[in-house]
Amino acid sequence: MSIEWTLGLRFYEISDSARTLVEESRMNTVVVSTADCKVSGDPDATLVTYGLGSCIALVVHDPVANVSGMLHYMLPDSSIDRTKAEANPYMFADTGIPRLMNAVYERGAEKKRLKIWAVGGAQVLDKENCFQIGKRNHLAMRKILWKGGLFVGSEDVGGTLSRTVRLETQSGRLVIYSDGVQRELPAGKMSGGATCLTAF
Amino acid sequence: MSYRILIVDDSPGMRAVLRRVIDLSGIPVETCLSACHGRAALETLGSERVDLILTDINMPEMNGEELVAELKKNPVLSRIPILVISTDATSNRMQRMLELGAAGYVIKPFQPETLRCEVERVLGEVHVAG
Amino acid sequence: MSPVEVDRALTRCTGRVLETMCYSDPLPITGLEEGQPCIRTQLRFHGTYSGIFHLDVTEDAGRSLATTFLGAEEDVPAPEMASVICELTNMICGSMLSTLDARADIQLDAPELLVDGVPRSEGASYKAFEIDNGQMAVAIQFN
Repeated sequence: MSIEWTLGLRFYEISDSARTLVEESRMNTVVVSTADCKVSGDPDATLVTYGLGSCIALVVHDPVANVSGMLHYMLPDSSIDRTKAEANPYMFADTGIPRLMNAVYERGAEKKRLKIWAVGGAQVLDKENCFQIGKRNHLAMRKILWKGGLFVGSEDVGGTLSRTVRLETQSGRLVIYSDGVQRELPAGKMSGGATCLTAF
Repeated sequence: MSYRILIVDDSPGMRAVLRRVIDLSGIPVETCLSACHGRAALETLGSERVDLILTDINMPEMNGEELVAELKKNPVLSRIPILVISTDATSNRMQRMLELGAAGYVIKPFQPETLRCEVERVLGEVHVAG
Repeated sequence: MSPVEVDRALTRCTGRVLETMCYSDPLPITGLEEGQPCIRTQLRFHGTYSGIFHLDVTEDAGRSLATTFLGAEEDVPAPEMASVICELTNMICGSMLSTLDARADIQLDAPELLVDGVPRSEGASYKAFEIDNGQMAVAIQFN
């Protein structure tokens, strides 16, 4: 399965067996579903994904090459179900993230210019956190990116609330909606506890 | 401008990680030198110009606190900014290192992004200071 | 400090180090399975508190941890693996002591690789974990 590539007002589903031309909405909004991935070269596009519970959205943006991508994956490790991973590699971190990165690199994105955000990994349904899927999703992502020589610029992960995330490719702004509140997550600002002390 | 960085840590594994973070950070690096303890670091500094020192604390021969104290006695070497990277997160140690003149203190375990930010911050201050 | 505090710190700090440096989520278990080849380290500490810290990790798990720690794509050779396991020992012990007493004076000796395992002694706090590709156990004993 190929990643859907958007250009201008249309997006194409590129697959080995079929090619489908679909009209986009007037807002140039590209919706990334659960277990899905989209890459866009449209400088006016908005990539959006909804209902991030324990899933994670990995969002990448190269402002120079004007390439952006968003992956919404559900589980950390495809070894639990190889058949499912073959049918849909975007369900898993270990099969989805390399495909996202290859897709943006093929379209001119460069590692050193990439802004990278990670959003999600909450414990929404699993209140007792028995399975810790959100946390495992987060750890899997960080491992893959570290091995791939990439830094996460910003992340908003954990907690118990579902999130919706939107990337505006023109401005490079990433906006998160959660519990009725909208906030921007600037590129390059890691949330979470600090582990360093600065001398003044 | 390209920077010359000295990594001081008795663990080859940790030296490799620090080197990797610096390499991936995009910071222009002319060379990355390494030393496995404070005394070896002083020997290196005797013959090599360095723009930034990353140092552990617990090391044989000469630990990081002793190294920083020695460097601060030298009018030339005292100007090199020092980033401490240590598992020792006790308040006394951290305070002592900052009072000795360390420019920052990163506690192990650390996220690579945290280390990168600290290195960029300290080098940025070097750059501004000229 | 109470045995409960020590146990809690042992679990928390092991988890924090493995998650942050190796992206591994350790799950508590009762003990290591018998007969597995292990890498074993020991670290002596001094200062406000003195004692000894041990870490055992099954070989496959140790290799996995080391490979991830270094950001390598393929399994790292034995010397690199040993270096990483020693550094993880250093981090977990140092993190633990700092957590237990933020005002302590801590001095850690260099971690050593052990050829033979050290039997668990009376009075040591011990925790074992299931991790990717194997198991790990940590123990600390104060003098």
